[in-house]
Amino acid sequence: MALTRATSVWAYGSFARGDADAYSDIDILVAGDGAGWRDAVAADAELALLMQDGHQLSPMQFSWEELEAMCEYGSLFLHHVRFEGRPITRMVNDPLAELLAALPPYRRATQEMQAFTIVLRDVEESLSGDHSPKFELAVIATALRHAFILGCYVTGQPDFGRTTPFRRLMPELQMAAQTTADLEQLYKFRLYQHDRALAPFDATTDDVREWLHVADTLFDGIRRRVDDFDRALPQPSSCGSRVGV
Amino acid sequence: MTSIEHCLNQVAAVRESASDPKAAYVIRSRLERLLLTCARVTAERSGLTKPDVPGPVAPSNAPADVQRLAAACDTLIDLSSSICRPSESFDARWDEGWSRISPALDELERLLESQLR
Repeated sequence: MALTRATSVWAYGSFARGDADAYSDIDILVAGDGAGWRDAVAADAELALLMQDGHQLSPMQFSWEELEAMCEYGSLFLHHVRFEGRPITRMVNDPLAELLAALPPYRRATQEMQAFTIVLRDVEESLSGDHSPKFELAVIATALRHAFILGCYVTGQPDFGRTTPFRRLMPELQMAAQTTADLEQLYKFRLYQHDRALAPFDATTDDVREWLHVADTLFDGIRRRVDDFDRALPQPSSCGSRVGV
Repeated sequence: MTSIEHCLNQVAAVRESASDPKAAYVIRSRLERLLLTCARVTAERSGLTKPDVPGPVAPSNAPADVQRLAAACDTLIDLSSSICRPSESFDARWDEGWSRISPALDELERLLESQLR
């Protein structure tokens, strides 16, 4: 099937970044009505090889209207695609490239930090009932990873890697280097949750309490950077209409 | 608090967070915890080892009501894997995503409440 002009396909994520493992999916952003996107992916030599090796496609499809709305608040997901993505469809005047080029700064950083904080408080509350320490550590690890990705972004050193944001931001937070290594270990609970690694240690409720304390300290540091970033944000500007394709 | 009441509280927590679509990250996290808690209840009632992460439970020899509970959880697992992905909120598609999750959550809640009677 021929691609319509309005469909733009990009690869992003671990393969685009170079830190994929045997379990990694191939992250694909399909912008537009999606017609012919599978053909476009199959025609890409590198992606075709990955699929032959058994890697699954993980597509996200958005209409141009949705992408415009995301652009208005400077979607961090779109910043992610802009930072490490590569176009699969070879188009002159790729409308997604144009939209990404005009992407304003992310405007929901404070809101996102609030969500991460609520998630930590949920972990704390869960400890009063039947709970799984391994799962709760996975939740803390995931919230920390996302907070570090946000922290890297607001401090002008974008990094959307699996654990590299820990290493990149830690000096800025003036935490001991060992904390980075501990966080990388902790993140294995998230991989364990998805059957991609063994649990790094036999977790207990005390471990969860200890990590909640560490996470609160790290969040305080990241929150200060987010506040600084928000204060310096320019007035909102429209992405403009780029969907007339 | 019984384990069923624990699950029902977590259903309420998911609903509470869903009132703000910008909190997609919170909703996803709460859904995962709810599914884990339900899976642990289902496993316990089936004489199986409680799982430590969310995922399908196959209580083949369990009573019918426990199997129905497990099936309701499986439906939610399928739905929750597509919603709120990636973590940031997408206002434009939230209504559609929640309209699919909400009835599945209602059904799970109904089954949990029937276990209290």
